[in-house]
Amino acid sequence: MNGAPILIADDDELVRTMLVRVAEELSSDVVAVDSGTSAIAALRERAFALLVTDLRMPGASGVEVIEACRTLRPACRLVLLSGYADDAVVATVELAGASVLHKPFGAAALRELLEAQLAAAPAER
Amino acid sequence: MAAPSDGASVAAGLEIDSVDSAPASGHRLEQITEVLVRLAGGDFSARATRSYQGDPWDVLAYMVNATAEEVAFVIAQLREERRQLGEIRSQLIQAEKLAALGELAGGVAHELNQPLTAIQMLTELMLEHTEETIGSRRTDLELIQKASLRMGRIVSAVRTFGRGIQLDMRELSPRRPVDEALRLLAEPLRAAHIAVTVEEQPTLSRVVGNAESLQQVFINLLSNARDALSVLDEDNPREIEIALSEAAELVCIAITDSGPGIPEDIAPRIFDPFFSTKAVGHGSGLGLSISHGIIAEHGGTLRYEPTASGGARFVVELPAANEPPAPRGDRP
Repeated sequence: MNGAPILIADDDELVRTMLVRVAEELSSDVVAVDSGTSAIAALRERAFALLVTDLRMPGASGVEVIEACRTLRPACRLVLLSGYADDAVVATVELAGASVLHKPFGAAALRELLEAQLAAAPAER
Repeated sequence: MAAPSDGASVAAGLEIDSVDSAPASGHRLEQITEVLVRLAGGDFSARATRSYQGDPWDVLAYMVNATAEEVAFVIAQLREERRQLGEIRSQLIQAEKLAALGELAGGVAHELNQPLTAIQMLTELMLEHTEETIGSRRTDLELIQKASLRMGRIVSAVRTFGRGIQLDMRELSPRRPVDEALRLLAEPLRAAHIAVTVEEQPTLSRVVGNAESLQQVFINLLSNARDALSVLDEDNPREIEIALSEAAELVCIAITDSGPGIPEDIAPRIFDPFFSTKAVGHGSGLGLSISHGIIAEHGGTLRYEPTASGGARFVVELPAANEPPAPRGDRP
């Protein structure tokens, strides 16, 4: 467990709860928001080591959040959760350096991916 | 070639005198007239009998036959083109249906994926700690239950979406499903402090429709209006205005609310299946889509239009019943 800050964006309360639960196993600093717009606002406010965002959200989509993150926090690692994404979207965000996790997924798969991303994240400034 | 009897050119026509003077001219006139009548009736196989003598009657028969052939050819071509067009149109309809189905399937997959992810994660987390008792995992079990119930709701919403091809249609007053919807929603509307007014044009035709499905449409539209009005501050007026009118054999039911209206950028998507502005779990995103389908099945239209004051207006237009109101005693 470390304090690498993780930002979670998912509009689905149930899924968000689960994401937070797994993320909290890995970090003591987890922030969760329920829309793309709030995610971008949070990114503007402070730095995160890892962003985990859903694709389809009200306000701004996961792709828009990832684009904003690339500009605002270039060091932040990116994970996109996709339910029914077309390949073009996946290719776009993968090109931007994001990992994509397809729904539905289990706790172990998520934990493994988050761990790998945090291990690759640069030390907090 | 034999010259016309009075010396006029063939092209100049068949002067009555000369025609009449020809032997058996009455019979030939009758014959050609009969061919022309058959052609006019759409039988393009009709042909005049020719003598091949080059006399005016033969020339006339030749011209009639040539015209018939030309017309038959053009008509056949037109029929073929129309057939091809019909084929293309049905292919387009099929493609559109497939596209709608694909969209629906995509929406269903997305909606099911959320609770499915939660269930998969929860069960995995529980399996990681099999030493714990079931009782200590009560909250998790409740979350799983919640997620699976949600999946059930999605499935039944899809079932409703696909249903309704065979509706029992009867002639009814358009006011009836509106009143029925208002009666069912009376309590929630009152609780949200919403004032509802209904205006009806005095001579309103009846419509042919299914009372339950029309009622479902109005419940949906009124619930949406209620939800839109509920977010307003207490000092803003919370009003729903229902207006029933008729023009050009269309009965129009307009539901206008004093809410914030629908943002311009999302207005074109509101009738799409699974499109919802409500928080997850608070709307299937199928309400307007289903309502749109129901009204279309009634041969009518459902559209959204913003109001000048910024509120939302949904307009249902249904064809007026052809018959004047029945004088029978079964009026609702």
